[in-house]
Amino acid sequence: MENYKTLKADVMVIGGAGAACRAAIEASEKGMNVIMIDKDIPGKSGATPCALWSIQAPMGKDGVSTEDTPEQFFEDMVNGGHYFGDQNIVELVAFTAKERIYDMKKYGVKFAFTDDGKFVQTPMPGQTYPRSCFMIANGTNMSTNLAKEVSRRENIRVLKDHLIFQLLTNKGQVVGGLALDQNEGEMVAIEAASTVIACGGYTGLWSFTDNPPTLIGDAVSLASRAGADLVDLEMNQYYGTDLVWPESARGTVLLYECLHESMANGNIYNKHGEPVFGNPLPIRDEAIKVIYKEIQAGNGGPHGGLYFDLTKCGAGIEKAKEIYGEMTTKQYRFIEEATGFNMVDTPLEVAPASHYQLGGVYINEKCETSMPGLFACGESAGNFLGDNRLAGSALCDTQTTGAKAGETAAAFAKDSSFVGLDKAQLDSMIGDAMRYFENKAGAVKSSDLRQGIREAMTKYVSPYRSEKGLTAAKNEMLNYSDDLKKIQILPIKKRNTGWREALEAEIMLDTAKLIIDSALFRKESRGHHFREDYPETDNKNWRKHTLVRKTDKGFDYSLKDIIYTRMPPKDGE
Amino acid sequence: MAITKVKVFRYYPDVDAAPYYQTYEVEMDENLTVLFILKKIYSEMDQTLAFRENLCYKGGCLQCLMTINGAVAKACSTLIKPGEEVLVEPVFKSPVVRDLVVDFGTTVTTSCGEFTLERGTVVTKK
Ligand SMILES: Cc1cc2nc3c(=O)[nH]c(=O)nc-3n(C[C@H](O)[C@H](O)[C@H](O)COP(=O)(O)OP(=O)(O)OC[C@H]3O[C@@H](n4cnc5c(N)ncnc54)[C@H](O)[C@@H]3O)c2cc1C
Ligand code: FES
Repeated sequence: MENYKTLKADVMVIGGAGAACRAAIEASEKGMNVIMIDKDIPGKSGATPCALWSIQAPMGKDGVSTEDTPEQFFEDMVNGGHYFGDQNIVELVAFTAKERIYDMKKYGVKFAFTDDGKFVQTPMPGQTYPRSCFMIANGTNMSTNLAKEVSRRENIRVLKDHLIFQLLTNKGQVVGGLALDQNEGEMVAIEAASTVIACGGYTGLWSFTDNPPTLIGDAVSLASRAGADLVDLEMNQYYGTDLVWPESARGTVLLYECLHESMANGNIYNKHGEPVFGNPLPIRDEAIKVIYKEIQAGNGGPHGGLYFDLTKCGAGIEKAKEIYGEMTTKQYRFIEEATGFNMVDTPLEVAPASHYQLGGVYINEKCETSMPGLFACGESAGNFLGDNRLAGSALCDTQTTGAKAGETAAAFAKDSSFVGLDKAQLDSMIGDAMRYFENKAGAVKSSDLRQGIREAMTKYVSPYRSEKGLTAAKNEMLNYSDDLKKIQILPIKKRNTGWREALEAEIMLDTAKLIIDSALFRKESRGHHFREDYPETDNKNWRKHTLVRKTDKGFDYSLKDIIYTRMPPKDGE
Repeated sequence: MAITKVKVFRYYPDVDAAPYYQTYEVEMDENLTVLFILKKIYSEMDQTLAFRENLCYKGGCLQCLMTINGAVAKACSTLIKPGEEVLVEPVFKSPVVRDLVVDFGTTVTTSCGEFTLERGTVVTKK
C-alpha cells in the first residue's frame, strides 16, 4: 500500500488568500479542474485579511478621481519603484486594475461609494490623483468574499489545512506538489498540469513583523528547490511604527500616515520626550530610517521602541481617538482588547517591523516563472514593484497578477498532457519528511529552532545592513541547518505542530540564506536595501535585478537587466 | 509573578476513550492573551497540546476562535491577568480534530444553494 494519497487537477493553486483565490477563479472560468490548497483556512489565512482599506486602481469617471488614467498609474508605479520594476508587468497591473476591481465587486467585496455612485478614492503618498478605492471592512471583507466565490465554483476543489512543502518535478518541469494534511497526518501528492504559486511573501521570517508568522517564504523556498529563478530578495520593506509591547499585541500597525498635520498632527518621541521629526513629517521610508537610528542611538524606551504619543498631538486626544478609531477600527479595538490600553491615552512604544516583500519568484508579463509548468503571482512574485512600493498597490497586484497567472496556467494545462510523477523523487521526499520522527541524541525542539531563525533575521537583516551583520546572520543560519537534522518530534499523527514546524524550518532556512546572500551581493543602497558599508546608490552599475539561479553547485547570484517599455529612465535619474 | 491556572480541554479522538481536562500552572508577570498563554504552554511545558497557532495574532482572521470561560471568543483578544483562572475549550459545534483544533466547516449560502467546505476535501453541495 502507498504511504500517500494522490489527487489530480489541471491546475493547482498554492495559497488561499487574495492572489490564490483570484488565480483559482480565473482558471475555473477557463473550464479547468482546479485544486486550491492552503496550509490554513482559505479566506482567513495570509496577509490579505490583515490589510487595511486601500486598493489602488485608476477608476477614471467611475471614481472620484475622474482624470486618473492607467497611463498615470503606470507612471506613478515606475516613479515610486525608482525605475527598478519590470515595466512589462507594471503595464499588466496598471492597465487591468480597473477591470479587476469590478470583478471584486461582482464577487461581493464591498466598496464605499459617493452619493452619486462613484468609487470613493483616498489619497496616498505617490499617487498623482487619489487612487485608493476604499474597501469597507478592509482586507477581511476582500478575502472572505473571494473565498466565497471560490467555493461557489464546482470545478474548484478546496483543500484546507494542507501544507505544501515540496514541488514535484519531472522531465524538467513542475508537475505538482507534495502536501502534509495536518488534520489527518497524511501525505498527499497532487499531480497538476500547471502549478500556480500564490502563497504570499516572507515577512514572517522576522520575529518582529505586522504580518502573520505563517508567511515564511514558502514561495521562494519551493520555487528555488524546483529550479525556478528568484529575484531581488534583499528588498525587504519595513513599516516604521508597529507596536513593540505589550507582547500580546506586538506588531500591530499604528498608522503613521494619520500623524499628518491635516489629521492628528502628531509626532514620535524618544525616551527624553523629544520629538524625532521636524515639520512636515518625512515620507514613510525616510521616517523608518529616523526611527531606527534613534533607537540604535539608545534613545528608545524600556521595550526598545520610540513613543507613539498621541496625548501630545496637535489635534487633541478626542480628535485622535476619532481618527484612529475610524481609520483603523480593527487595530484600535484589538489593542484595547489584547492589552487593556487605549492607544491614544497611553503612549505606546513602536519600532520598524517587517511589512512587505518586494522580491520573490521571477516572472514575466504572463506570470510565467523560469520553470515550465510553474506560475507565480501576488506577493510571491518579485520583479515588478521596484525598490519601493506605493501604499495600496499590493492588494491590486494580487488581483491583476492573480487573474493573469490563472489564465496562463489554464492555457498551459490545456495545451499539455500530464507528464506523470517521478516515483523515486516522491519516495525520497516522503522519506525525508518522516525522518523527524526518528530518535536522535541531543534532540532539538522545532519551536526553538523556528524562533532562533526569526530572531536572527530581526537582529541582523534589519533596515540597515552591513557585511558584518549579514555574515553573522549567515553563520547563525548554518548552525541552524545543523540543528535541523537534530529535530525530533512527538509520535502524534493528527495536528502534530512539531511536524509542521520542522517542515517549515526547512523552508525558513532556505529562504533566509537566499535573502542574506542577495543582501551581501548588492554592494550599494537603494529603496528598501540600505547597506551601511555601501551607503550610495549606484545606478550605473547596480540598477539591475539581483537574480538567484540554482546550479549544480548551489545558487548563483548575478545581475539581470530591468525591462523598460514605455518609460526608460532618463540619464542621471 | 503569579501562577495562572489554565484548565484546557484535551481530546484525541483516535486515541482517547473520552475527552478530559488538564490544568497547567503558568507563571505570568504581565497580562497575556489566551493565545499567548497557550503558546507559552506549548513551547515551555507541553508539546503535545494542539491548537491553531498559525494565525494573524491581530484580531482579524477569526481562526483563533475557542470557547473561553464558557463563551466563544477570540483567543488573541481575550486578556488574562496573572493569577486569574481560565477554562479553555474548543468551539463545540465543529468536530474536534485534536484538543482545541476543530474543523471549521465553512458553510456558504449562495444563490445556487448551500455549500460546505468540508475537512480537507471537496466543496460539496448540500
Ligand atoms: C497589516 C497589514 C496591512 C496592509 N495593508 C494593505 C493595504 O491597505 N493595501 C494594500 O494594497 N496592501 C496592504 N498590505 C499588503 C497586502 O495585504 C499583501 O501584500 C497581500 O494581501 C498579499 O496577498 P497574497 O495573496 O499574495 O498573499 P497572502 O495574503 O499572504 O496569502 C498567502 C496564502 O498562501 C497560503 N500559504 C502559504 N504558504 C503555503 C504553503 N506552503 N502551502 C499551502 N498554502 C500556503 C497562506 O495560508 C495564505 O492563504 C498590508 C499588509 C499588512 C500585513
Ligand atoms: S489570531 Fe486572528 S483573529 Fe485571533
